[in-house]
Amino acid sequence: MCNQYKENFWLCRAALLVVTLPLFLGALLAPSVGAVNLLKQGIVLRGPAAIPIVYVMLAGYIAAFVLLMLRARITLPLVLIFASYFLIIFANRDNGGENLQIVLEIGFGERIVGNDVYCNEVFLGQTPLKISREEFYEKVKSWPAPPRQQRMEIEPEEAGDNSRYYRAKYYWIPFDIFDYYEGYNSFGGDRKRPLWNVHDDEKLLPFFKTAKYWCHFDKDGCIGLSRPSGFSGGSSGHGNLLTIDANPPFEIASVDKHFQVVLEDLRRKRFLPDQRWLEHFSTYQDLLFGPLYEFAAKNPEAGPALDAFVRNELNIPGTVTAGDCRRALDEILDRAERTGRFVVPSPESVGVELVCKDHPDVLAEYFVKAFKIPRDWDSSNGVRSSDDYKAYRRSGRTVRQLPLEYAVGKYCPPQLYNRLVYMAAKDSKYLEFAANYPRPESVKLFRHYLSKAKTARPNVFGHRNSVGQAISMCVKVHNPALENDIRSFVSNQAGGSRIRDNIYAQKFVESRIHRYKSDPNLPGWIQHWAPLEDRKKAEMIAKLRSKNILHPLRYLSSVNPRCRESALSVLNQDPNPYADEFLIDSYRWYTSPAGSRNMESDLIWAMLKLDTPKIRGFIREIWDKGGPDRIKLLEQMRSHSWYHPHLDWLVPMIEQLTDKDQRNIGVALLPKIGTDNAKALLEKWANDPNKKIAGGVKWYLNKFEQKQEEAEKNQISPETVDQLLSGRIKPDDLLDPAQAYVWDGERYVPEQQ
Amino acid sequence: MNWQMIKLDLRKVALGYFMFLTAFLAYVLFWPKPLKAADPFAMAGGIGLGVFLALRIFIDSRSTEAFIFSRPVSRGRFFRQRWLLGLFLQVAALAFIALLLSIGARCWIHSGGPYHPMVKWYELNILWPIAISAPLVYSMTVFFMLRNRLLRKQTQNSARGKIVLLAPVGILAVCISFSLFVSHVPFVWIASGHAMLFYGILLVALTTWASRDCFTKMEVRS
Repeated sequence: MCNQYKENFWLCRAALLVVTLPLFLGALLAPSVGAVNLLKQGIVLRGPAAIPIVYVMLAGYIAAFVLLMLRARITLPLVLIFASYFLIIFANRDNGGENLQIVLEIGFGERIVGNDVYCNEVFLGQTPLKISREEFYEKVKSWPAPPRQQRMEIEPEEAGDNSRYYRAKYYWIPFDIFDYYEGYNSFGGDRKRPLWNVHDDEKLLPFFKTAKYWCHFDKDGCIGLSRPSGFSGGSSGHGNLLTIDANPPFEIASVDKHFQVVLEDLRRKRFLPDQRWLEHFSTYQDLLFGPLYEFAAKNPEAGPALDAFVRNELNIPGTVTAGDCRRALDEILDRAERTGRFVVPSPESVGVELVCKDHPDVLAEYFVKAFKIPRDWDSSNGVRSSDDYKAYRRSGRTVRQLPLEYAVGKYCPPQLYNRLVYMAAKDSKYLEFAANYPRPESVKLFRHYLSKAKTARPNVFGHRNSVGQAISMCVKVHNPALENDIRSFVSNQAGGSRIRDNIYAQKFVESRIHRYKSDPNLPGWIQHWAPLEDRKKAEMIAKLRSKNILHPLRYLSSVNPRCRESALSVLNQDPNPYADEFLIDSYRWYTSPAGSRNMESDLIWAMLKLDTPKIRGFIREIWDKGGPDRIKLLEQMRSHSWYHPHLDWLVPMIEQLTDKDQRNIGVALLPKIGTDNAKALLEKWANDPNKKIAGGVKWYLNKFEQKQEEAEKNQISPETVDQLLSGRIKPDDLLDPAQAYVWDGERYVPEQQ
Repeated sequence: MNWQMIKLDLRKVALGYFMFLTAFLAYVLFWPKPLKAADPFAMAGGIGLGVFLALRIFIDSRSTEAFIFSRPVSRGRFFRQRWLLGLFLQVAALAFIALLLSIGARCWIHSGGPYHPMVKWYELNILWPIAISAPLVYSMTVFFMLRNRLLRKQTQNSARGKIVLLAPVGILAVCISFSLFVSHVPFVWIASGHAMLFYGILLVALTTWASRDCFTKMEVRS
């Protein structure tokens, strides 16, 4: 009877414990702020007061639990838990950087993983590599002086060149990276000048003198050479922990020759690789895939070889079934998870294209599964790109989403459309996928997004971040039905004095140039509407492959002569057959009173590189005029260094030169043409009565011989190919014998034998 | 089943329940953005519904309490009946929202918008926060309310006890945070869905069992 009005002891306590279980678990296990995590990080993140405070917190939690069990009351335990939790504020006290912990991360942002890292002859590990300052100094002992460079690539000394050592490539490069951060504190500190801010020899060589740590990088047993500065990356941190992110700037010395040998074998097999070739390529795929991909982009006959390698590597048969697609996708996603990144182009990106093209249903299935993977508490995204590649990173298992996002962006599987629209409604970063579908709903969706971005209110600083974000989104959307809306949005919303918006606008225009290179309307749009400076517009237009580029280039050049220089610079690097009239215009302008100044070297180079009927006709026209015009042209051609066998058609015209001065110039041009006809003409003039001409011919014939000898030496023999592919020689054995350099106290000089 | 007692309880909750349904209807039909699982308004609505049903069903006026408890129905059966009624009303609310979304009423209203009808079936995710929060809060509120009455030796339920209301709501907020935390912690991500389901069932089961214990032992003025 007396128990009638009393609760069941154990039942109520069990119920209260289950109800408060999340509070206890959260207080103990929450990432970053939970007691267990704080004990692990302790002094590293929080300072010396952290651990005692955590013990007080734990005592509070234990007291709350005991009260809950004994008294079955909830109020006081709740108060105790929250009060204990707020002690974390005191555990976060920064003690002025006295206990600064520095961790170095090498290669986390790189395209290729697995590079060997050496410092002062000590092997530190493979990238991506993480090492603390203490571990580094324990493993690696300092060197008293700059080391011998087993291999070094440096240009010959020239008068007035004060960046020769800066541009050189070294076996060992200075790596006093912790030194830079020694004076770090929460307010910036007193740091030494970093190596990546040094741009000439005058400042670089003293750095070498004082450097105590030197690093070297290898990949797959091949030597890497590095420039002395240019470690890209940065640093970040919180509490007492500073993380330095360094991406090494090295290149593999033998990769060009290695690729040429491998390509030679492929050519001999008519681009149908055998198993030996595939195995060798697979071993060095990190180094060779990029060059092969680039080669295949310009030479379609190499496409089957690329295809064969990827199929062999990922076990993709000629006809892909749904089962093959699943198996290949599993392999690709596992690789992405192992390396923490997805690179385009790479064997994985090509593999994804091969298997997903005909299986949108499997792609949709994998996409849905991958997007159910929960994100980590501290997940991060990143992308590192250059002209040749893009490396996407994502932390944790969500990296498996990257190859699928790439495939969905390419193939737009219809099964995923509704889901993508829903995902875009929750998070606008998925809008790029939905907007690329060729459907009227996508047009409506993206227009809605743009109108929201236009009307978004500015923040307290008067900035509308939504505009920059929207332009970034426009870069990724390539739906022809949306192109006019997008271009109109960019031209109306971007620009002005905000540098950030201009950067986005430039990226947008570059994306259009890449995607719509031959769009006839694009040159006019860039000229009239692109929110860029005139010089930038001229550069962009010069890259387009459309006959409509002439008028905009002419107009911009007439408004600002510097635009002409910018356009010519681009045309020199990337000859554009649609720009031949502009080149002719520019030549006429430079030789006119209006443009009477030094002719841009880029113009001559660009004209000589471009072999179109108009350019030939123009050169012939000036040649036939004779007199000062012809002499001026000849002198311009002689004063620049080039080598273009396609100018062989000039040889008969050079042969017709009778004036001795002009013939002398002609002699200088023949080696630059370098064909058999040019050599034959030189030999014919070897006995010219004019001593100057005969002397010049003799000298140039010697150069011809030297060039031929070098070409013969560089010719790849079948034995070399066989030795390399069978593994009897390594790629580094293809390199010329190395000239070692030693430090003479002030600079590096060649080692005397 | 004692239909008279069920009708009595239904009469108590009718007006408020109707207002909740109206609020859900208005929100589900007219909210301009696509409905999603992580919806704070839906969660608040579910919490409100759970608290409302718990308070209205399990609190009787002085005049009726003595009469109801004098009926020839065991306390255990009485509790079960009331508890299941509350649960049924929550399920009915969920079914009502699901029906609204399934017949395309929202798509028709927002046909001029950019997201419909593509997101029609995905918007059913709005049911999740309501389905999770309402039963959890309902069973916790019943537990705290009945236990409070038993501990204070009260002969009448009091709707004014702020601790009764705040404790389950506050703790539910922690439960939701826990669910987010658990689903994102890497080492438990595989089991997070199952862990959440197990925890939810355990919580409802234990609090309901303890509530029943309190209900059978509490004093009622005769």
